[in-house]
Amino acid sequence: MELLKLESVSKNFGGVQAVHAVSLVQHENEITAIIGPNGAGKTTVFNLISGIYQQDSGRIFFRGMDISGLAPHKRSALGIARTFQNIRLFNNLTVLDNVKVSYANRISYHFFDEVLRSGKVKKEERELEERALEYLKLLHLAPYASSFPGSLPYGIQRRLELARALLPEPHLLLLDEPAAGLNPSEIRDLMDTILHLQQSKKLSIIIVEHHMELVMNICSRIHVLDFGKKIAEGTPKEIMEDEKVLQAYLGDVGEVC
Amino acid sequence: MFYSKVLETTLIFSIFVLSVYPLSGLTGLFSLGQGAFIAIGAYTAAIGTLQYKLPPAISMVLAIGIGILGGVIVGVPTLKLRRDYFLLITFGFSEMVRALLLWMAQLTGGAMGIAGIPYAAGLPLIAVSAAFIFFLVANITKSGFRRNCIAIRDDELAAQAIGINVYWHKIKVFILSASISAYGGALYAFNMMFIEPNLFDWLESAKLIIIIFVGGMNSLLGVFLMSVIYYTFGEVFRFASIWRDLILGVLVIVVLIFRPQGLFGTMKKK
Repeated sequence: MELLKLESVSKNFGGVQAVHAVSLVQHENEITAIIGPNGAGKTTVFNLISGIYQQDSGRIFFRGMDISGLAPHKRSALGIARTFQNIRLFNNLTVLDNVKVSYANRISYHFFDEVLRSGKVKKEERELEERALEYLKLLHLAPYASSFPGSLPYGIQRRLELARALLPEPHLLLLDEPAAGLNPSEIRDLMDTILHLQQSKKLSIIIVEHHMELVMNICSRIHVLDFGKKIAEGTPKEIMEDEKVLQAYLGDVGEVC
Repeated sequence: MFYSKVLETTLIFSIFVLSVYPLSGLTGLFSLGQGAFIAIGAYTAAIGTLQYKLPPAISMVLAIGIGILGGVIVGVPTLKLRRDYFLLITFGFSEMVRALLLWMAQLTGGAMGIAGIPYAAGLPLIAVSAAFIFFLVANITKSGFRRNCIAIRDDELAAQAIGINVYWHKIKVFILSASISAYGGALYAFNMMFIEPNLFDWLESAKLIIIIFVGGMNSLLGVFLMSVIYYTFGEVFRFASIWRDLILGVLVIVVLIFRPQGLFGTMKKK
């Protein structure tokens, strides 16, 4: 079933066309990738899907609903979660609180409950704590629960960002260069984690990534962007043999050889 | 007698500090207009009691109401702006309120201020109020409200992306702060029995923020202690009034260099 659909979406920054008439469809429970050379507009596509940027033209549908004009926090409430290329954690919150905070949309107690700290708050906070600890365990973060993220190694920070994105049980997860800065064994763990999440949580995942081994191994389909335009779409095998893709990555191969 | 007066003053100013804590300490929004909300509360209480003959208790409730209204009027259009613009606009608001108080002399007594306000807030009421407000603010630092505030302070964009309605949360924080400030202002009026427009200028607002910084943004208790120390010291050593600010200034510099998390702050636990 169709989960997310971009219909000819464009975004300009001044005179630069960051994304030009990109269309793509993401189905439920599949893993796809968006790849392309630096500056191709991959992260901009993520920012458009998560609502951080407003597109100049085109429309975005999520579970059949037009979300083109929705604010980021509303899209998050509908079930779109993301991580960032340059990790964005909250350095003044503990690791545990960094995970809990992403439940903001789902919390049902109100301001006045909080001010008077009613039983409802205590009960819900207890449940939230359990749930957050579960996700910390899932991503092997439990020993760091009371640390502050700024003092943790890079790989752990990446996992924490993933845990934060997962807590509200999204339908669609956008991973922006999840393998950047990780060593080969960490990348293998990451691939296992992503596949495990897809199966156990019935997640649909889009990955922006430069690490080709990861992309080719776990993605069922790949979208290729170059200078803001989509130049190819297909299975990993098709993409590897695609003339246009090779050209975008390597320049005009024909002339050199 | 003297020491109970010192305690009253200290606790009233500590209520002001507590009112600013959610806004500047937790959310990192610097308002130079908090003094204006204090003034709004104080003048509402005084005018309500003297001109409209309302009982002090009703005047205090009215002060909170007008404080909230002011919070909505200032907060709704400005909290979408960047933090630096927010700071400038609250500064402007503070000066505007001061000018209005001077100008509407028939109601506010202009530069003469309002004297002869009945004494309706003694130590018991002030102490209970301070304790209750501390309790309220401590409560919100235990649950989602605090997490959202700190997330917004650390990274607004990420906060939005994980599902926090940043604008709405800032409005809630701002109105909470405005209402507590206004209530504190009403207590001030009923305790000092005299108010004038220059009592709560932007410098006073800045001082509240500085006390929070020195006490430690992430520690409510630290902020409260700092505020009690500063204002008690200030009252006991009134003759040294200029030295008091000098010491605060030096303290700010020392704290920023050696303990950026604040005197009592706990940014990094083991």
